[in-house]
Amino acid sequence: MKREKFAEQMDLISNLPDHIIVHIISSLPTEEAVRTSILSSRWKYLWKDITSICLRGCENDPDKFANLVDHLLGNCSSSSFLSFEIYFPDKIGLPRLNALICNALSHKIEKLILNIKTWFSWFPAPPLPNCALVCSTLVVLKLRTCFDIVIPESIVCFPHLKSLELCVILPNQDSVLQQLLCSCPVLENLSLSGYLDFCEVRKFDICVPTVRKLDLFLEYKGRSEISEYDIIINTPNLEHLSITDDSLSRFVVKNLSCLCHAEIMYESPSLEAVETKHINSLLELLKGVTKTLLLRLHFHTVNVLEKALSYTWPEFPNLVMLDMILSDESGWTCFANVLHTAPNLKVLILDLERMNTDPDEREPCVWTPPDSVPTCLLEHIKIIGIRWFGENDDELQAIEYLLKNALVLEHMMIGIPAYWIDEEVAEKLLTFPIASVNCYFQVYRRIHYKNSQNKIT
Amino acid sequence: MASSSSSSLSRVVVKSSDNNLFVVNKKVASQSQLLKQCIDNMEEKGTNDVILIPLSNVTSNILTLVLEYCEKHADFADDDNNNQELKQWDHEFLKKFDYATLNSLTMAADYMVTKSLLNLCCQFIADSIKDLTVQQIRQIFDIKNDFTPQEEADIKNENAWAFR
Repeated sequence: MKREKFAEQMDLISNLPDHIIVHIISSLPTEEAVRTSILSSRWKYLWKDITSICLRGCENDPDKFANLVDHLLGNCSSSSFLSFEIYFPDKIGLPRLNALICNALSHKIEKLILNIKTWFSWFPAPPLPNCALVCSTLVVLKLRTCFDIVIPESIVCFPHLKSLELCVILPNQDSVLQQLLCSCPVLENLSLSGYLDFCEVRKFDICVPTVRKLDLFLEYKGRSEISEYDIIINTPNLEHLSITDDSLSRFVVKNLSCLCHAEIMYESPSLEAVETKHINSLLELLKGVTKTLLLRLHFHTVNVLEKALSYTWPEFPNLVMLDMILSDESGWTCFANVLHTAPNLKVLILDLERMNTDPDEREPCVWTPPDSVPTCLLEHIKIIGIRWFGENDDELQAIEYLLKNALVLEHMMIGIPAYWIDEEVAEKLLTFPIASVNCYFQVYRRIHYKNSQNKIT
Repeated sequence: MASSSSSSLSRVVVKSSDNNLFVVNKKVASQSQLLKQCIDNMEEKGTNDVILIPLSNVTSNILTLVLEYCEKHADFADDDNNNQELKQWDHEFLKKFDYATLNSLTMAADYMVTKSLLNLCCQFIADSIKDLTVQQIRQIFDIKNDFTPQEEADIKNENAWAFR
């Protein structure tokens, strides 16, 4: 419909100067950019100046694909590209792949994204071509490949690299990761995803003084004997940390004094498999992030925490916003403990989607009120948001408790999934006594939260 | 106020092609590399006067929009670029415009060297022609096909992979 509106106001794109048209077609998938050559004689050669290349090798014939990349690069007049993104087709042979990457990298490239699907078929993984490691113009590098990374010693490979995303089989040599990270003197964003199954290295040292945002995604599929991994995070300028881990690694987190946003998903394959050492290592991880302003606890993390009720928990003195995802497996058992660890909390978000996704299969949950009312509730909490309220008794009791004890509450928001809404329950909600004088109480059909700091103050 | 001797000027005046004046905060103006360059040059000379920057290519309608964009982005200047709220705002901002306005805005962003706005506009236009056939693009933008059938076939042949 939008396009029809465009159609009424014709003859406009042609008013734009060539360099802007080139900019526009650079934002198209490369195939479509090349197709504009047939529009008219003015357009015939414009595509050759494109500054971004994005190719998806859905071609079944890898040779054909390789030829077209060569042809394309041979025809483009730009010697430098802002972005170069390739999804390689399956079964592309290693020599062709190497040649292609080296050809591409003979141009100056700011943002390089390489996707190669063939995950385990080539195991052990081939080394990443060296030319990819000495591309000095790169600012953004994303590798989703099965390459093994081998780095020639003592060179600064990526002097301008600010963002590095690796989705790889983690390197099988000790120190390779460390060496790679040392090669990025100005790195700000680091995202590391890896399968640990075949990984022989037991210890990963992530020590990057410049990094401000770190995303770790560690997956363990249980293909081999369970092993223990040590992840050391030493990043004094880190502001944003997100950890997703189902390998139950041991984390050593140091030096996170600038942290403002932490998100933790610490997953155990089953609740029975949680051992003392896992509990200790989760608590150790939490201890490392106690300076954070925002904390998001995934239900997997909450499930492990439930086993830790008798342990001493670290305190979060700076925490102003907590976003906690509860599940029907662990219910409300550690809710009180978590609130006690955050004496200055102002915003509390409870996400009950996981608890209520399947109302018929829901495990019975029991509301367990805290022994004593947490300080944050009495003195600081101004906003409470409850997402995906499922109208169960335990949830109603929790809300009743919160309204009764949150003395300075200003805003209570309850989100009800659009497809089940019971007027009676809604009425009941609104009759609960509210302790705070200036509280604004709302029930929404749906509710979304942004993890935005601006919302807090 | 103009003569207040604060070490650096906090406001500049931008003049549109139709002679309307816009008083702009320096932080906002700095979102445009063109304005920033003018300000820097003037400050190097040590002028204490109000800086007046005439923009002969930008009408006041369009300038208002560019400045609205700059103002929003100046607010988020210290935040990281991936801010969801800002992205949402960007999208809503462009959605409102008809194609003629979008075109002028793109040219103004280019002229005023407001790189992020230029990128945004170009991406928006690209998205609107994405997945269209050659015929549809010609029709929408009133592009006259001045190729002979033979020439057209040659072009197709040369980059056959793109015309599958």
